[in-house]
Amino acid sequence: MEHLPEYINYWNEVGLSKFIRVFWYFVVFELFRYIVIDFIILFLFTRNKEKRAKKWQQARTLLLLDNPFVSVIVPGKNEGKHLFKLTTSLQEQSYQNFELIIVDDGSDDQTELIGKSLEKNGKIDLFLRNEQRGGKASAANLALQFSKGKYIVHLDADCSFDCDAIENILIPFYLDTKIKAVGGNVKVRDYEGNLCSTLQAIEYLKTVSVGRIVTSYLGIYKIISGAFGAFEAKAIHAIKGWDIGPGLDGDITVKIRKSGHKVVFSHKAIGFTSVPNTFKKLTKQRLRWDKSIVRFRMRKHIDVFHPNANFRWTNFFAISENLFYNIVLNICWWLYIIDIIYNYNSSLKFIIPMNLTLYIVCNYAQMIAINCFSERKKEATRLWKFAWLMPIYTGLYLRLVRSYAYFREYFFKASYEDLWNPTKSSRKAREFGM
Amino acid sequence: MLHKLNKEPNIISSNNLQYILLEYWSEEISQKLDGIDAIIINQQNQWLIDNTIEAIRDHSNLKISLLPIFINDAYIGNEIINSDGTYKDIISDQLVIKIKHKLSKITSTFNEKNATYDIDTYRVLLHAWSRNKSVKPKKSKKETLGYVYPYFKVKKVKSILKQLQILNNLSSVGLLEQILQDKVQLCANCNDSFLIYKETCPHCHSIAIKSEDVIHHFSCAHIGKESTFKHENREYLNCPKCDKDLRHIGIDYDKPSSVFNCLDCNKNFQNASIIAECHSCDHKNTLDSLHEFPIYKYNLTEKGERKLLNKDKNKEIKETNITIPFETIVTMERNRNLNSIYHTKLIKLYSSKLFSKVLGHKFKKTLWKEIEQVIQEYTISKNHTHTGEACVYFLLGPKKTLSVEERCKTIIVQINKLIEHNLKTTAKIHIDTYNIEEYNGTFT
Repeated sequence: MEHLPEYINYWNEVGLSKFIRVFWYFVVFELFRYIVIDFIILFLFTRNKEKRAKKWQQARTLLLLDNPFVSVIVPGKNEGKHLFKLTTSLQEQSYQNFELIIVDDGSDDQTELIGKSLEKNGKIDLFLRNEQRGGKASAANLALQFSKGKYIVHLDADCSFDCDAIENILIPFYLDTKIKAVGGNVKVRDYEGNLCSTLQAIEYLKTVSVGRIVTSYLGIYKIISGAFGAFEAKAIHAIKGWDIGPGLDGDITVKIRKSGHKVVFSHKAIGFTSVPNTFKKLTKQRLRWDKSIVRFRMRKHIDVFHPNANFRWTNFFAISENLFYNIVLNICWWLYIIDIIYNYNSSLKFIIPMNLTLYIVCNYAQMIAINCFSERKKEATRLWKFAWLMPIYTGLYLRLVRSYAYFREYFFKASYEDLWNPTKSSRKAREFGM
Repeated sequence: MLHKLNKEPNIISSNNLQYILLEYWSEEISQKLDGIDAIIINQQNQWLIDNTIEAIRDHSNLKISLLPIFINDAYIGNEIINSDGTYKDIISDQLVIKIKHKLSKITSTFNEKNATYDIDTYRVLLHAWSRNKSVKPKKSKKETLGYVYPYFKVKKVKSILKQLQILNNLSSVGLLEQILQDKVQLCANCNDSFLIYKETCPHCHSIAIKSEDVIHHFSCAHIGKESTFKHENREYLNCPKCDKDLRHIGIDYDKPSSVFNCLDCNKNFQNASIIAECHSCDHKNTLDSLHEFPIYKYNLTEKGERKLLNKDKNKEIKETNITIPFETIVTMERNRNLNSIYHTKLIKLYSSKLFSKVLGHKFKKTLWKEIEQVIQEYTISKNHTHTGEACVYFLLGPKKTLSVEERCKTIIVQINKLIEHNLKTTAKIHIDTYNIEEYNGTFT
């Protein structure tokens, strides 16, 4: 506190140009993208609220009149302990014209027993078991093969849903016939368990609940969460289902976009998922997710940048934005650190606290946006006291994880060694460059 | 070996046992069964064999109904129930002797008033006991339970449930011991065991279901029914998603599961429902609705045996005096040795002239008898020893643990103890050992 006058005086004397010079990374990239653009879009989104609500109602009516048969598919391994809760959650849905297909991908726990029992009792329509594990993509594809619905809703087994979640994820299909895939709003369950879960809860609210409203509005929505997503069956069959992961959810979204279809986000279709409850598990998960950006968006879908017959600006911008803000800016951040250390070494005692201050203020601004759009405002408010930790969480911890993941994937193709996929599948995928 | 003895062509003997050779049963034959030890049915026709056996087993004369019955060893066919097997020389002869020995213990007539069961049950138990066997069920397609207790059937206790009721009642009072033999599944509607098991669709219960393997192609994660991977013009399986050939299971692809498709309702499932359709009443049973019914075999308990033999609790079963001539035993062993790698030794044990000098004739004879009794501890049976003039002949078969010589040494030690105890002196005991096939002497 004794240094506070000195600190304030320093910034008063620095001036705007120097301020921007020192904090160029925050001003140019973070502030502009995550505050300026986001708030503009959110403002526009809110401004058209009534018009949108009317269209939504009309689409809902069309959905209920059409009453399409839906296939809810749930691939997974060792998810037996979640199945009963999942089936109970689905039984409460306002929309009931669906079949539930669960695929057990080589589980070695009680999943088979539980699944067959639930099938026998009529809580699951079709329980399929692969004696040999093939990976999530193949399990999802197996369910797809036997699905009969007009729409396919893909869920994770450890999720539970608001009672109108299925209905709300289907309504967008009736807003615009070009919409062939819809992403659900995935939030964190049990976030009050520990700090790791709490920080993830805030992250999900920022990037999923609010962030995807923005990207969907801009037409650059690029990842339908594997935990909760819906696809038109015809469209997904046309692209022949899922390809080998990890990152299969992002991959299939891009494939649908490349087929010329629209992909949107339904912020009203709410599902809750379990997240890693230790930083060790979280690191493992994020390393896997972040490697997939290099493997799929940089390598497999690099053709979105090619000026060919299938070129679309929306796909171009969607992937560009993703690659830029994840990979390019990650590199930029390291350059920024080097720049600051090299050029402003003597002022670090002022620069570091100011950086933190800027990011904390930015996070609280984002929390305002979260509160505006959240249907559970009380829960959202409870997270405010942890928001000040987000700069360290996303700005430092996740950035380090991301950097390491990009390095490993770019130079060593490490995602093929990830045991998340069976070795037999990864070996073949690597051989064919999938 | 069977030898024709009498002028009548159908009576033969073997090892001092009398067999009657029949082709079929008639009541006149029952007049000729005095002195007959066993019956051999010389017949190939199964129906005639069954009827002959039934007639004998159902005979009012208890002794006739319990006679050992063999089928000529030329018979080729199914196992004949209620018979004692096909005739096989020495083995059958030994069986006949055992049965005779057992039945000789029956000293009193059956009194239905005092018994816990009727005469028919008595015969069933006696038959089993004399053969040292259980009252055992046999599989029968004609019976609702799929099993029958054969001897009961002969006694016209037709219903298997009636048979079981009798046997279970005897078990409940401790005369028989139940041993689980099998468990049968019965129709929930009519309790018949003739069930036809079928796989059906769990949705519409149709039997028109077809199973197909699913193939998982590793490189593109495509998975689908095997038929979608097969193409007429392609040598290998071909992935419909990425158009690659699948050449090597385990490397390019695998078959992680199979799925059924119902041709009627077109639904898919992995686990077919199994129904058991009753052949009698057409009722379609689910597996968990079937009645499980235990089938037991029954052994006589000690209490049951006493009851059967009408023996008092405190009295022991008296030893019989049936003996088989030593020469017969020697002949039987000789014949057995012909086809065996294990050979019996004939041993003659005799002592020095001391006995003849010191002891009177009567005392000598008694002492040799006692010596024989000592030796009988080491032989298979009492019939395997014979006291001659100042000697004992006995037969010792092969044993894994002790050789003949070692056993003879032990016998000599025991005999010396006996002599020392009786005469307060020792005597020199001699042993001559012969291969049974080579001995041509007498046993005096």
